[in-house]
Amino acid sequence: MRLLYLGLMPVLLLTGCTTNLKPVREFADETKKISVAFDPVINQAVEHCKQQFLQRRIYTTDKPLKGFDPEGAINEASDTCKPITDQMATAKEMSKALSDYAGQLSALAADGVASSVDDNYDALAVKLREFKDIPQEKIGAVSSLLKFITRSIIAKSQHDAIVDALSHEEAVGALADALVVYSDRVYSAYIQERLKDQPVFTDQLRAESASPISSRLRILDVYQQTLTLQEQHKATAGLRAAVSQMKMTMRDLRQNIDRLSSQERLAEVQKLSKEVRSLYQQLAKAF
Amino acid sequence: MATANPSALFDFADQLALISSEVLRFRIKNKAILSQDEKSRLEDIEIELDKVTAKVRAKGIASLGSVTATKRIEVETATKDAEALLRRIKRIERALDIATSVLNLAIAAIAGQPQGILTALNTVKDVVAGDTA
Repeated sequence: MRLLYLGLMPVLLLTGCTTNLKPVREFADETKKISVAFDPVINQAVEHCKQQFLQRRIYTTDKPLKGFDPEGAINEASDTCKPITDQMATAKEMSKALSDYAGQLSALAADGVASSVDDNYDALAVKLREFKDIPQEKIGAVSSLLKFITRSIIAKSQHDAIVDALSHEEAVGALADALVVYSDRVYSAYIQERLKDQPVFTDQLRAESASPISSRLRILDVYQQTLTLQEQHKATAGLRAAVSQMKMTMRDLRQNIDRLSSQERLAEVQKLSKEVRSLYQQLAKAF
Repeated sequence: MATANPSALFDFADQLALISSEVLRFRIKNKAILSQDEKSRLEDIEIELDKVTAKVRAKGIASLGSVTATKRIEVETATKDAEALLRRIKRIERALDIATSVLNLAIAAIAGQPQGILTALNTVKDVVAGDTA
């Protein structure tokens, strides 16, 4: 038994002081928010593809009005954008992997993980006290020691698991970068193309002389739509900035895993929180 | 089969989209001098270009998924490892719960309380069922 205690000493010494896991927890929570922020971007890419197709067919076509079939136009837009729809799962897989990772890292770094068994030990000790044959003075001591050892072992495992989770920095960064590429090269590409179409649609409406009131109303719609598209385009810059800061914060945490309580860690995580806050403000304007 | 470069595919898609926009602008600008048939054919070309643009962009996404597949699997494995530790901690909690519930049963048995034994037995059953769930 003494040997067991001696063997556990390094563990107890290592974990004797409670590690401040707040920076890891906050990093994980902010990363989760970033992964969630990609959801509207992934879903909206298909919608932008369809709208681009439909609006070109409505505003610029020279085909006779009597042949215009709304159902056929919608079906053709869906058909045109089907390859993008089919690939949505690929992007969703990436954002889910990032979101699940962040969720588990947050749970791992949660308050009270190491002491979660304390209550169970206390309940057990209360029951043991009801057995009169067991020396009462020993129950409390043994129970406290077991509680301390278990808590220490859990804390050490928790620390090792966090070190391991953060060691996948490159893979996590690569996934987040891939989502940024999706946002820039698919979602944003369609928005930029639509933004270039907007003045063309306005010119087409101005050239319409048959119904000027209706044209004015449609010009107003096109203008408001342009403003929305501009805000949605800005959101991609917010995603890029948040991912960039997320990678820097993760590197900082990994490199300073034994200095989590320092002010620098907190400052680094606060930089990430600021970027994520700004991203969500932009998303609120865009969607 | 080698995985195509996502950037090259996205660049190609952008070029196709640009050509489609140029054809559209040419059609509108020359509306007055083009015949109805020419305008219709040009619009059909735009539609085809838009379809190909979407296909190439989709190939770009697929390629992006392929080049990051290893990284995604690495992240998913790290997530499972973290889950496993949390599950181990839960198992310690459950083991202590089981021990406590068994002691309850023993206390009720020693005291010879039939109703207490029944209640304690049900608790043991519930806790054990929770452990295997």
